[in-house]
Amino acid sequence: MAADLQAAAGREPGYPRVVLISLASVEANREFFAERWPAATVIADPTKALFAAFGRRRGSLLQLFGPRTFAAAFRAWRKGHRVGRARGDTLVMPGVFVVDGARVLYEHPFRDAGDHPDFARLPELAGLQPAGRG
Amino acid sequence: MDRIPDDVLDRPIDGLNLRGSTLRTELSGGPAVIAFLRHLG
Repeated sequence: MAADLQAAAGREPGYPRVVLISLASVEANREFFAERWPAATVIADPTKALFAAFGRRRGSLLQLFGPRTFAAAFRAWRKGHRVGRARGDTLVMPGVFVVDGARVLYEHPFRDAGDHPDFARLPELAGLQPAGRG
Repeated sequence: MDRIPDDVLDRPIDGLNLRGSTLRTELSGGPAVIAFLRHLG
């Protein structure tokens, strides 16, 4: 997901600032992003406090291991994303929000763990730019 | 969720390339995409 966001933000100069929240420690994040995305803004949330505050909980078996999740993993694999040693909690559901300060403009309704939004369209979905642009 | 609660915004944060020490500071200055990553790698 981070790579897709990096690509979307890189394509669109007016793309909102991206803030990643990770369950890994600061050091694990530093190691992971050092070559992949050194400028990434990453908040380390190993206690899951922010995950819980935003309603991110463990998914159901179907959400985590259902056919759509495996299809998404295959799509990611075809794009060149490889799964290494997972650091975090692979049982928790991901989340994507577009916010303006404290206001939540858009929340992607994840049906399952692989149900990623169209990252290029997030500004449009949040009402930040007219439909059909980008 | 329509609005991020104040206690969440003012909670101390730590990480990489941060603007400040709270989520409020991090989200100041315009719209942002927040992505919760379930794992690295």
